Amino acid sequence: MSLFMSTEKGKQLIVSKCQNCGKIYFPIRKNCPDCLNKGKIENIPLSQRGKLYSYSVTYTKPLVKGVVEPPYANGIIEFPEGFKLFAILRDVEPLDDPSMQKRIGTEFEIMSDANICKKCKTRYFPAVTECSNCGAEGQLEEIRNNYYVFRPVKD
Amino acid sequence: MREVAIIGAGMTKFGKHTRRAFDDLGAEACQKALDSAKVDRKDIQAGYCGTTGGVGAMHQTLRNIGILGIPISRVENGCATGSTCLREAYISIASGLFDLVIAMGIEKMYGASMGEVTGSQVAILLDMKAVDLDAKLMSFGAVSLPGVFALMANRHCYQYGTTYEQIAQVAVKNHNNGAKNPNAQHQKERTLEEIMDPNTPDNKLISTPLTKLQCCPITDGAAAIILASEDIAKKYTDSPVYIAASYQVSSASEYPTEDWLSFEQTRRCAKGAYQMAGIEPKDITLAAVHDCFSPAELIHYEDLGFCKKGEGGKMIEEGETELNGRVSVNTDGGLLARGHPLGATGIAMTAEIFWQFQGEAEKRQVDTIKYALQQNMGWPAAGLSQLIHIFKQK
Repeated sequence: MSLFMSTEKGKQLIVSKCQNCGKIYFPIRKNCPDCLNKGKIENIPLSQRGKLYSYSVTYTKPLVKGVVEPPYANGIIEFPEGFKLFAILRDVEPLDDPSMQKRIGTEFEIMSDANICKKCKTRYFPAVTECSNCGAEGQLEEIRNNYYVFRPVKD
Repeated sequence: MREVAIIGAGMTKFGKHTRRAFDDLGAEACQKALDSAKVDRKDIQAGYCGTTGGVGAMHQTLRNIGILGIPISRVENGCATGSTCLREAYISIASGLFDLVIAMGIEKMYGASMGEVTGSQVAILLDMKAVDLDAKLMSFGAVSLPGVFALMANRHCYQYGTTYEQIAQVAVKNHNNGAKNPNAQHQKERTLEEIMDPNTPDNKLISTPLTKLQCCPITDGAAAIILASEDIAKKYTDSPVYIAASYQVSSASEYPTEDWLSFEQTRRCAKGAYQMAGIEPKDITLAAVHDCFSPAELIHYEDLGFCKKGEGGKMIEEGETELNGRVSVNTDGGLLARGHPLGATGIAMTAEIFWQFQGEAEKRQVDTIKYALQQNMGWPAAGLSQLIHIFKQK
């Protein structure tokens, strides 16, 4: 199963939207458990940006290896589609401070590209532009992955 | 449906029991329950067991104490396993099938991973070729369970002005109640500073604002109760504790909550339970609620109707849920201090309510009880299981 689809905007998370009741499901599913087959269910790309709905900092290992090392920020992202998603957050500085609730409502965007250095085979998530292991430039190749994190939007 | 009563209860001390086998822990809890009810083991007609990891534990336990030949069943329902076991035992008597039944909850959690204890590790192995596990975990953001409750807590603070101190106060209350319970895993009184300070030898930050002392521990233990039909119950005791309501629901949608400020299952389950018992939330004066992490207890106050939405923080701060408060909540220390051996929790909650009604809760005894409520929540991989039982005396 892939969590993403490729669009002109890049990689986007795929969600299923029930055309009858409007409910959104992630990951995708074949029918809407709420109204079953009364409406068609369609797979659509989820917006790449959403607003932070809640925020926390976790000091234990995440459930998936290779995404982030503890401590790390995590949050709930609310999308314009009205859908909420749990996510690991990156590039949040300072990580843990008493005013962390002030971040609620600010915009975050998805990072989902991973790559590998063809020379030394080091894998990177999120993707890098230069291999920090062997220093090789122009040797990086995109690889398929199901990881995603969100980072603050810097406009 | 016939009236069903609890007539006896027993449990092991909750804690670390790596050197005691399932049948040893189980036998202690079951024997204590039989002794408490003054029931001859030969009169027990069926055995129900709640456990996620203790496969075959009830067969081994009952063989160990000479209860042979009766039907034995095991149920599993995530962290609500114990209460699901209680409900199955209740239904078996209410339906008229049996008159005298033993229900045991048991778990051993030390020495195995959470995935192994809950059986999800086995499910993952069997599903290995069918699903992409990383994708499955990422679809939930790879967020840990304490992480989910920490995010709920922070949104609650943002939305309603709840404070980290109010959230931590839940753990202060429950640890202090645990200090009065000889069967509790943690029996040490704690100050607000101790609960909130991550820089002490027995505390650390897990997920802001949750410190380790605000998260339920890993626990081994067993608890058992004896249930009887009304006629039979009266032969054994003058003070049976009747089950006024037994209600169970699971999630009505893909996600357990829309706004992560409340559990719709708790609200729906509570409504059904109050209706079945013919009472209102204000009639509850004693409650055992599912405080897996400190913010959960505050959210349950609201969802159970003990206070208005958003006022859980105020309710704990004003001491309304302390021993002999308006509703005494988690008098035995709750999941946080008594401990949370998954399958045993719901039965231990029921045992505490039984002892409180009998006046046997010693230092943590409440003065009077009108109705008592027990709420147990499970999260078996997809959607929530929710069970509420209400108890009364006649």
